[in-house]
Amino acid sequence: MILSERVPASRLMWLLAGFIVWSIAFVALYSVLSVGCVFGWDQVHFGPVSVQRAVLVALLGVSLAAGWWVVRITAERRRAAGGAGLVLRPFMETAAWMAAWAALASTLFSLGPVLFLTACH
Amino acid sequence: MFWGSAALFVLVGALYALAWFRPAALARVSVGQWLVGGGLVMPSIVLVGLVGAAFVLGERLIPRPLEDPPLRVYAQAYQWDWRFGYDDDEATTSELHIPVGQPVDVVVTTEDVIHSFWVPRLAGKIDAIPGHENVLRIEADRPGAYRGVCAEFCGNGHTTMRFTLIAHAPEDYAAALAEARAEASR
Amino acid sequence: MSERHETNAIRLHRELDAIWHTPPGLQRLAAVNHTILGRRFIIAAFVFFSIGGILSMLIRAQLATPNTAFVGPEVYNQIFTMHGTVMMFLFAIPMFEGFAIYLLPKLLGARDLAFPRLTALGFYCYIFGGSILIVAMLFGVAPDSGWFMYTPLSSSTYTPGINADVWLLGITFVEISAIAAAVEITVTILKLRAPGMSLDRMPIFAWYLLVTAGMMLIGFPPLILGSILLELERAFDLPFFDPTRGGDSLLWQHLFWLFGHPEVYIIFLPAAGAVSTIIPVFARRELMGYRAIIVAIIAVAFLSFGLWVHHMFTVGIPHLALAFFSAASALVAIPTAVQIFAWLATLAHGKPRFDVPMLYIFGFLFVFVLGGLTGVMLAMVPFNWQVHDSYFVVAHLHYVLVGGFVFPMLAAAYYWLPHVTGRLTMHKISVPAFWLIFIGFNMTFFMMHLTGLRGMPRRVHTYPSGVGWDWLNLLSSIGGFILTMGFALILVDIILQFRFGKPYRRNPWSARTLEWAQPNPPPSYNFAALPLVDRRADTLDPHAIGNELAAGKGYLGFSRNGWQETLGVDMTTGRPDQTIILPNRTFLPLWTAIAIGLFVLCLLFKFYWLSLVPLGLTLVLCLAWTNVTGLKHDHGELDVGGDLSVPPHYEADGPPSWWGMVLLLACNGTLYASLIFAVFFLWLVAPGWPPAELLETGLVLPLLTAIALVGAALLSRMAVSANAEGGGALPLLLASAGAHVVSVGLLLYLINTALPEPTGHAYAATAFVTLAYTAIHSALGVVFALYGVWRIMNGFVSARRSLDLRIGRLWHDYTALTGLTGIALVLIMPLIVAIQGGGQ
Repeated sequence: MILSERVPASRLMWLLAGFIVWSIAFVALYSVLSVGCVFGWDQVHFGPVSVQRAVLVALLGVSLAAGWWVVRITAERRRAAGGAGLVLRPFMETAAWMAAWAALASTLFSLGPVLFLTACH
Repeated sequence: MFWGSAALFVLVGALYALAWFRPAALARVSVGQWLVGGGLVMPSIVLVGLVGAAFVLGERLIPRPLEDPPLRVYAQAYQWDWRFGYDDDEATTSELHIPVGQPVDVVVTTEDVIHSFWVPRLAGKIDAIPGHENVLRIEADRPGAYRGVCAEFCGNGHTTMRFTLIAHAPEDYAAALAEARAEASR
Repeated sequence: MSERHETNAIRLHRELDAIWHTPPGLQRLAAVNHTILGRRFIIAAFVFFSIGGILSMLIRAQLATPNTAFVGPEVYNQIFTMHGTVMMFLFAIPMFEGFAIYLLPKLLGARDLAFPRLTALGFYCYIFGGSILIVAMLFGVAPDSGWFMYTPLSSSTYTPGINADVWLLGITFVEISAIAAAVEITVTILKLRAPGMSLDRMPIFAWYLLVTAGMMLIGFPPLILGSILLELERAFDLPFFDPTRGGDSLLWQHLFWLFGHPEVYIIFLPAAGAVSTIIPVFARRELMGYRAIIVAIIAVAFLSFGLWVHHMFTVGIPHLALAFFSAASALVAIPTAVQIFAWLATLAHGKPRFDVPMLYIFGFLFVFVLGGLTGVMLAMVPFNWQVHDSYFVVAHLHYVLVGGFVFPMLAAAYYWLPHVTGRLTMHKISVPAFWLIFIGFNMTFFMMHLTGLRGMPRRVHTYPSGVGWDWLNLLSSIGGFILTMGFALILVDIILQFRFGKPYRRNPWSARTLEWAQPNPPPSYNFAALPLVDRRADTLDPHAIGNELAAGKGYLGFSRNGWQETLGVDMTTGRPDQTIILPNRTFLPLWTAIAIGLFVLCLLFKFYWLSLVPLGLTLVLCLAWTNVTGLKHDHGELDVGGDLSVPPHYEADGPPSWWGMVLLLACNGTLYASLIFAVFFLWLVAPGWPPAELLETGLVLPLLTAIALVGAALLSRMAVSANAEGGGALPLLLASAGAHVVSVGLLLYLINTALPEPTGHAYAATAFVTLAYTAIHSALGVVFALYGVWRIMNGFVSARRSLDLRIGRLWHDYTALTGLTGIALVLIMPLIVAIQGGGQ
């Protein structure tokens, strides 16, 4: 019989995990930026950098770490699933792993500007 | 940007034509090469360059505080015309007067709905949002009259909500402005 | 032997058709069949397309020469507003919904969609909502504030008439149909597939539609919320967008584009799905890069939610924030490039052959690639500042939307029309029609790039001569008329195909997907038996499969109890886990849509108290839908053929209606999240804060409300557990209903006593809406709990048949969760507002 067993629907979620991290990071940075500009965090300096910049860069760091964590987990799941004999599992796991990488790259590309652009003008 | 786009368009077109008429020429390119080369590497290189250039240019254009604060003028939009004010006096003019050769900050506001301040030959545009003040930094190289329009749809008079910006040589500016004000109050 | 084979097939056909077919006459209005409704959606969308097209011709007539006095600004504003609105909401979205409704079950190997009656309801909501807009236009009171409806231009101060209400109410009415379709499409793809069709074997078109439908569930709620808030402002003076009372017009822009940009990809992805389906057939090679495409469209789905602000680059947002959206906008080009190169690779590795659909695919690639390139240009902030709201943008958006949607849809039309008609296309007219459209389109819109770069702003009803726009506009207008001739020719071509096309038996394109395993035109029940799919579903042999299925070889190749049965499968693996008994044709969707329509009309003509009558009627009718669903006794495992036994869906763990509820709540949750976003946005950005008066509730009443809401949810959970153990759910459900009554009472009391006047400041208005949201959900919680009681008393519930109670539990949990969030928000806001006092 070609019909394989039931699997939990949560497996589908790994396909989205990387980009969910990206979405959260995107919303977090955009809102913190807006809040910081309203409260004048860019005027308050903390050594060579403004508080605004420090907070944003820290958030970017956390986001990249979270994205990297998803990449690691999906890679691990893929390795664990490899060669298990089912057509499905390597397929989904590989797709999830690719999506996680794409999301990590997207995080760096779309949020990376916090490193150098003017924050509040 | 235009030539780059044209080149990319021709590239895709050529590949498409080749796939149709000479599939053998492309058969040796594997699917992975197609996807990674065309889908990932090529656009990534182009986009990084383009976005980087846009960021640099954008940084130059935004109205950041300067050491020597630029001249401020005020553009107030209403349905369906503009009035322009200046720092040193409450009188307004119906045409905007600025000096050439120096950056000028236009503070754009509105009395009613959303409008947008646009002088196509000088700079981009900035919207006039109710309850907010927006600043656009412009600079004219040459004296003369420049056409301006309202770029955001604002109702029945949107089409005719045009204005004129007049740039004067710095030495003539004060006199020209005084004359314009005198004319407006008459 | 072969003769007996044939007679068996005919007998089976008669039996199934007797159950599934839609009788003629007035009964047509009761149709719930996806083939019929899919066709109706497509025809209606085409009619609206023609209306939108005529409007665009008026625009081009007006702009052909400078200083035209053909129409004045009052009429012109209605024309361009309606052109955009009709094309986006009444043509593009319903058109692909129609394609999806018609094709999905056929591609997936199911007999119908998951919720046939919902399809019918969606269709009527679409038609009624669309008609309200068109009728308003005929009476000269069409919306005239642009299809984007920016406040305050669309607020009652500047648009006092009925025009803006027509848009807000009519479009929200149509959105019901979009949400219905999104739930329907998602559940159908996840649950209603042929046995063995695991996700990695699914036809690529289904993947595209799955992603699209998911995007609709998240993308539409912000607009629905925005429309509700703006209508509340117009009708009851709640100042969400009024800057003099703590509102902000930018809130509308955010909510609108939070929907508006994903919308573009919602339109593009199904069309790209059609391209991904058609190219392999004509390249005679299966699709290359199947998995890469899936990852690419998931990436597009997410990224498209991170670029709405590129419509707002000129509203005065800091450069760094613009950079996020600029980079994300540019980034979308990469997954799009992956798809384009996957298509090129498929062609390069195949043996391409020519036919009319391929002509349109060529048109699509040509136009869409150009549109994509100008899109990347527009994503660059400095360039955008210059050409924003100029004709360059008009050119770009038509290259993307016509290139990315109309051309592929025409390819799809030529590809699948034989499936609908059972007849082949004739080439004589199709080819010249294509060239008229292709040349006409490029002539019209390429010129607009140039007029835009020469400084012509959008939405002007005329322009002065001698500023370098004259001949470009004239060429655009001439091109527009050539384009229209092309479309007229296509219409003739389609009619001719219906009348004179050559009939054929099966699979004229040698395609390898399941829909071609049917005889054409397709029978009412789709497949006499459901196939076992043991490989990727775009590499099948429809001819062989078709003959087997027609003879009843496969799953469910019989009729039982007069039920309309189809199989439900495990989401990922495609293993059958239930047999789904679909509801038969009924007039209820029509009546329900009429009731909703009356409600909308009451609001439109400001009979607010009277509107409660159709609203109550709608609720009663919705309850009446459940009258024919459910089973009165346990059936256990039922034989479905192929040595397989599965329970009916009422006795299964994850039946379609349960998933439907989950998705609906996810959609609802997005709406609620948008509301919370609105509260914080206004606090942070709007002028006129802090408000003079704050909410004074004390802690006792909010706490009691929270306890009542959580209690209701817990009681309903206990009821489900009790039911699983054999009974005793009834009193628990009654108690749950009681807890909801208490919470509704408390919330109404809070709104009436503790809240400052909602018309005074946006703060109070948002607090009012937050509390009212929970009150409404809690009131519906009473209905859900009592519904459970009613179903138990009528014998529809047993330990195995607990679906009604579990759906209720989802509602109660959701209400408790959002209610707690809302109460917390209302309590915290006064504190936050106080902090901000020093900030600004």
